Order: sequence, then structure tokens, then C-alpha cells
Amino acid sequence: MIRTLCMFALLTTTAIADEASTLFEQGNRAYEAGRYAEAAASYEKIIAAGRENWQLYYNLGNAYFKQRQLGRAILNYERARLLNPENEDVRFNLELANLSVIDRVPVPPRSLIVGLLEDSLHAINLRTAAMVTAGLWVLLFAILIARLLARGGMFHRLGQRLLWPGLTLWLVFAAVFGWQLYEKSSYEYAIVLASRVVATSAPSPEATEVFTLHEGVRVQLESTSGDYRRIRLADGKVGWMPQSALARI
Amino acid sequence: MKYVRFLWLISLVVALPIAVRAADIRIQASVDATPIGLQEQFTLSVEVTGSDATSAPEPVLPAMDAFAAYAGVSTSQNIQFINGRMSASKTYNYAFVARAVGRYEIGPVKLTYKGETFTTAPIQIEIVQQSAPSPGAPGRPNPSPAEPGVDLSKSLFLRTVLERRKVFQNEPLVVTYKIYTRVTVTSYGISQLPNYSGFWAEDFPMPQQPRTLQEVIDGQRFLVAEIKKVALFPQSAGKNTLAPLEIQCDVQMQNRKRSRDLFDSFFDDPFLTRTVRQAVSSSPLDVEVEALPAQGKPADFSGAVGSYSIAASLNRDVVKTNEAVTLKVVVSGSGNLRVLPAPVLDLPSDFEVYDPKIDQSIKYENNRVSGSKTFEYVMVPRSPGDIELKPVRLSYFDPRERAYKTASTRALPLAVTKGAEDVGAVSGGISKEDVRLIGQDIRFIAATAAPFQSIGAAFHRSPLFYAMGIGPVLALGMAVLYRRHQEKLSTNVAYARSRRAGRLATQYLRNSRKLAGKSDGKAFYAEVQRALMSFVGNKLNLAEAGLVTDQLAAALGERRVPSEVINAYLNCLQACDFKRFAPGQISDKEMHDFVEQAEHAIDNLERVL
Repeated sequence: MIRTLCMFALLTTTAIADEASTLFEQGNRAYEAGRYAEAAASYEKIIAAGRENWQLYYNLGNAYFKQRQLGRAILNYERARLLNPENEDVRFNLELANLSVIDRVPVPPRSLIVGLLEDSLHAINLRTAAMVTAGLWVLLFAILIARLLARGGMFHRLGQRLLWPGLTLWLVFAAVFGWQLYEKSSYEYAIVLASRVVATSAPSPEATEVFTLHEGVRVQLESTSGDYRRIRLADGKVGWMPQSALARI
Repeated sequence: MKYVRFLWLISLVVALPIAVRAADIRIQASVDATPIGLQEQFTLSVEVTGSDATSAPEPVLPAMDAFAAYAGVSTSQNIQFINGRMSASKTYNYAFVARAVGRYEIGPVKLTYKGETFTTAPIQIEIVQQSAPSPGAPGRPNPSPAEPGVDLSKSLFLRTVLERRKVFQNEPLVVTYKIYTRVTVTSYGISQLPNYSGFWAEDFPMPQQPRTLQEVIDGQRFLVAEIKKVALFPQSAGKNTLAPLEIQCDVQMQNRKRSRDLFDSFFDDPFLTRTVRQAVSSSPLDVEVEALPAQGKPADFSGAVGSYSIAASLNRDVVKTNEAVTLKVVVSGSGNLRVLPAPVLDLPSDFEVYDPKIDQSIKYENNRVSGSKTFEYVMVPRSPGDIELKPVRLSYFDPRERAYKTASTRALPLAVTKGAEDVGAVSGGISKEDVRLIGQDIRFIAATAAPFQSIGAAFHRSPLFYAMGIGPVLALGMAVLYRRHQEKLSTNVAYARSRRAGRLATQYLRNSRKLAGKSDGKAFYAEVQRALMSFVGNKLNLAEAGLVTDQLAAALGERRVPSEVINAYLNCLQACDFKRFAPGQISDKEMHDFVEQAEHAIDNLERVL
């Protein structure tokens, strides 16, 4: 019985994977032919099926950019960047799309040290950080076990030499992994999808208008009140806007 | 006659070199009358003659502020050519109003031309309290000052009519000056305008010929004419005094006076009239200006006082981005329209708005200052979207109801569509200066994709990650235990023997099973005994050789082994001893049974040790 279930699960997974690849190919064909709306629809189907990877988001972002849907383009580039922060193409297109955003939110300047620290903390993505941390963890224990069992042997000496560098390296990666995990759980970001949205001082349409944002602006999400979401801009401005105008990265 | 011509020639001969050498200018000053009555007008005539008279600059007058107020200037020129010789004269008639009683000297009038300064002789004048007889200018009626005996104040006076004596700051207050007369006034002129300090004044336009009405005061019929009307906007709260208005009237009077003078009697004709100049002044008035109440003052109040309505319109409902749309705001009503500031628009931040074009049409009618003021704002929306322009509001103070009010327009919908300029591959934001990548496009899509993963699936939440986390710890624990076991084996003989006991016993029992198959009874029992002895010896770490049953029983007893287990074990051992040396054939089955029995005994003992 269990075996049948497993077989079924395996088959479904493979089927979904196959379907995703097919849809991805379809989307690419449509994009190459200039049918951007169709391409975007194909890519969106994959996401609706619960599958993702950075290429999917990147291509989808391109398809939306070509349709002048700046907000959705930026949203998908940001998602692609989350999965693959190092990718140059993703960064390039995201930067290009951001140039078309009407609002320029001045990012407060960071000091050199903070900048270096932040950059190094985001040099690898969460997945890589988790893998390296776990791998180094296993390696460290392997060294310890080898030292324990192969007392006095070659393995013992090798372990002796590798233990401290390995531990230091592990601490570094564990810190990066921990920081990213913390960031992911505490900071949520969103992109403004509405072509124009007014941020108010309180979660109601009658409240004083604080500022106006346009499609494509990246905001940090804060508390929620009814249909309203408190948002914070990079320069520290805070306001409330309808959740419908936003899409979480 | 010849003589005169000769003289002319001489003068020409003499004058010509002078004309070449220096400016030909003569300057002369005169006053039309002295003594002069207080508040009366007099003329200081400065005559410049000579061939350079027309090109000479205006003469500079001495300071006369102490006794006269400057009222204006008129000039006349006269150019003559006689025998080819030009003679020109230019006369400046400076009108002054006498201000203070006394004897004064009008200092020299100066004129500087081509580096030369010409001056006139000083003139002595006298200003007297009462009107002095004035000879009058030719061509004018000949006004003579009022005679001391005639009191005109009862039959000719000015009244200042105020709508009310108490006004709010910035509330228009219409002041009307009326002349009341029972005598014939042929002409009048305003000789002194009040300076209206503390007020912003706007004149009502007056007809050239004032309309006259009749009014009866104290049984006497007066002709009344409005001669001046002004709207005053008080600028500061408190008591303000309106300075009097002064006019000069030429009054036509019938000669009723009898005179013995022959010359006078000539004019003493009932049909003849004479003109008397009379200065008339209104009385000063106090106006109490009330400050606008602080209570209920709207935040956006900008000083509008009166009664207003406001309307707004857009010249189009649909506009493309970066194209202009005009918002027209019309404020109409009565009040201080002229100083009304442009309403502050509450526009979306992505609207560029320029300073408004302001038009005003203000009417002064029926004691009211009313009209409309139009503000035209040119706006340029920078981003698309359906926008509702917020109502334009104007807060004003209504002095009649003594309350602040707000006039508001309706909200105006405006659809902003994307403009044509926006269509390029990359159009930088309008407000951004640092667009660097013009003409570049996004990079092409990724052709191949890595294996898809489930959305939200993260490596750090996968079972593998947890296994990688916990596995090594468990492995290390096991390694530590193994290591400790190894150490015990090498250092602790008893432990090593005890760990080896079971294995050895099993090995011996296996051997004995083989022997049982070969029907070798002696060897079989020896092997079983060896298994039993080695097991208990190893377990208890006792030397096997010389191990006696009693010793064994005691040692096991010390280990708190139950006696039936000990007995079963000892029985097996005894059976081995007995059978080894017993004669006769032992069946295979018996041997197999015994092995089972011994194994059982060992198992039992192992369980409790």
C-alpha cells in the first residue's frame, strides 16, 4: 500500500516537473516570437502549479517588462534575485527596470564597513549558505570522528590540521546563514503594482495623504490593519496603503 | 525806427560771440501773488529765456516744504524767429498750496546747463491767515477770497459719510465725501487728499460732472453732490482716524454789499456776480477696526474678508502625461478681492503646476466692491492614472455673519493616459537626471532552466538538512562510545574477558555441535565443559585452570545470581565431568539435547550477569 502511494507520489512529481519544463519551453518560444503576453501566461502557469526557479522568474520579469508592466517585471526580477543573488543578468535587468520607476527613493548612504558587511552577508543566497553550513558541519564531525578513531594515524594528523580552520569557516557560514534566515523571517518586501497609489498617514482613505508612489517601487512591509498595510520606504518614510496595490516579493 | 534797428544790430554783434562762448540762458522767477491766504494755491513761475531755453533741463527748486505743498507743474514754450534769430522762452508754472502762516523766502531757483549754473533772485512771500486778494491768472474767472464779513461755512460744507464706524480688519469700508451747498459752486478742486494711513484705499470711479441731489437740512434746501468715494480696507486693528479731505471751491456770489466806493459801486449790480475762492475741509472721523476673531479661524485662512463663492473647471477631462491641462478657478463675490491670494492647490505630488495667471475684474458700484478674480493654473501630470483633483477651497471671513466660512469647488475627475513620449524601450523617469542606459534593452531570457523546485521549498527546511545536522552528532557519539569500549578492552582485562566470554562460549558450543555429529562423546563433553568454564571464567575474570565448583558457586553467589541459575549451570558442568569419563555409547540426540541445555544455562547466566 505504502509502496503504491510512493510510486504515485513519484509519478506525480515527475509529471509536474515534465509539465513545468514543457510550459517553460512554450513560454520561451512565445517570448522569442514576441508574444510576450502568451509567454507570461505560460510562465505564470508553472508558478500556479507551485514550481519555481530563478530562470522562471527572470524570464517572466522580461515578459512583463516587454509588456510595459513595470511593477510585475520588477517583482519577478526581485524574486529571481532572491533565488540567485549573484546572477548578473538578473541584476542588470532589475537595475534597468528600476530606472523607469518614477519615484526615486533616496537610499540613505551606508558607511564603508556596514556596506562591506552587508554585501558579504548577501554574497551567497540562503540555499547556498544552508548547504555550505550543513556540509561544513558534517565535515567538522567527520574530522572529529577520524581524530577519535584513527588515533596517531595519518587521519588523526590531518584532522588535527583541519579542525580549527574548518571550525572558523563553519562559524562564518553559519553566521551568514543565520543572518539571512533572520532577515527573511523579520523583513518582508513588496513591489507597488498599482500605477499610482497614495500613502496615507493612517489606514483609512480619509487620512492625510503623506506621499504618492508609482508602479515598481520597492517597499518594506510592516504591520497590517484591515485592507491596509503599513509600508516603509528605504529613506524611512512610513505610510499606509491598500494591500491590493502591493505584491510581496 | 532806424535807431532801434541799429540797436538790434549791435545787440546781435555783441550777443553772437557770447552765444558761441557760453549757453544763452536767462532765468527769472516770480510768484503770482503775495500775500497768499493759508491753504490757497499759488504759482511759482520760472521763465527760462534764451536760444538754449528749449534744450535746457528743468530748473531745480529750492526746498519749500516748510510753508508750501507741491501740487504740480505745467510748462509753456514760446519760440520766435525774428530776422533769422531764434528767441525762445520756456515757462515752468509750479503750483503750490500755502501751508503755514508767516513771511518766507523762496530761495534761488537753479538751472545748470553746459556746466554753467544760473540762479534767480530769492523771492519774499507772505502767507496770511485769511485769504488774500489774488489777482488771478488771465483767462480764468477772477476768484476773489471770501470777504471777512461773509460766513460761507453754513451754506457750503463737506460731509464724510461712512457706512459704519466699526469694521473688521480687511473689510471694505466705503467712505463717501459729499459737498453740501446753498451757493453756486462753479468749480472745485481737491487740494489735499487724506493719506489714509492704516488703510488700503481704492477709489470709486466718479463721473466727470457730479450728479446733484437736493436735501433739506434744518429747513434749508441744499444741493448735494458726491465728489469722492473711496473703499478703505483697514490693515490693522485699533482706532484709526480718517484725516480730513480738503477742497477749494470757486463760489459765485451775488454782490449785495453796498459800497461807497465809486469803483466798487461800479460792480454793485444785482445781475453781476463775483467769484470767491473758498477752502472747505471735512471733519476727521474715527473708525474702530476690529481684529478678526481668532476663534474658529481655519488653518488655511489667508485674509479674505467678504462674501465669496468659488468655482473650478478643467479645460479637458482626459490628458496625456507630460501634456498641459489648465485648471481655472474663479472666485467671485464682494470683499477685498484685489489682495486675495491665489488658492493653494492640493494636487497629487506627480503634478507639475506653474504659477497661476491671474485676471481680475472689480466693480465699484452701489457702495460695494465686488467682482471676480480668475486664477488659471497650468498643470502637467507626470504619470498616468485616474485622478480626482481635490476640491479647491477658499476660507474667508464673513463680516456680516461674523463667522469664518469656507467656499469649496467640487472635485474634478481627470484621466491621465500614457503620453506618446513614454513608449521608448527605456524611458527614464522624468524627474530623474541620471538615466544612463538610454537605448539599451533588457537582457534576453534564460534558455534553459535548472530543475524546478516547489515554491517555498528551502534546503534549510528539508529532511536532508536536519539529517546533516543531527547525523554527525550521533555518529560522533557512537564513535566516542566505540572508542571508550576499545580503550576498556585494551586496559581492563576483566572487561575484555567479559566482552569475549559470550563469543568464545558460542564458538566452543559450535565446535561441540560438530563433535556431536561425529559421535565422539569424550571430545564432545570436553568441548561443552570448555564452553561452560571459559564463559563463567571470562565473565567473572577468574583463572579457568583449577576452577572449582564451590569457588564458582560462591563467586556467582556474590554477583547475586539466582541460585536456580547457578544450580542449572553447575549441573551442566557436573554432567560434563560425569559423562566424559562414563563408559558406553552416548547417542547423538542426547548430545544435541545437552548442547541445548548448556546453551540455555549460558544464556540464563549471561542475562543476569
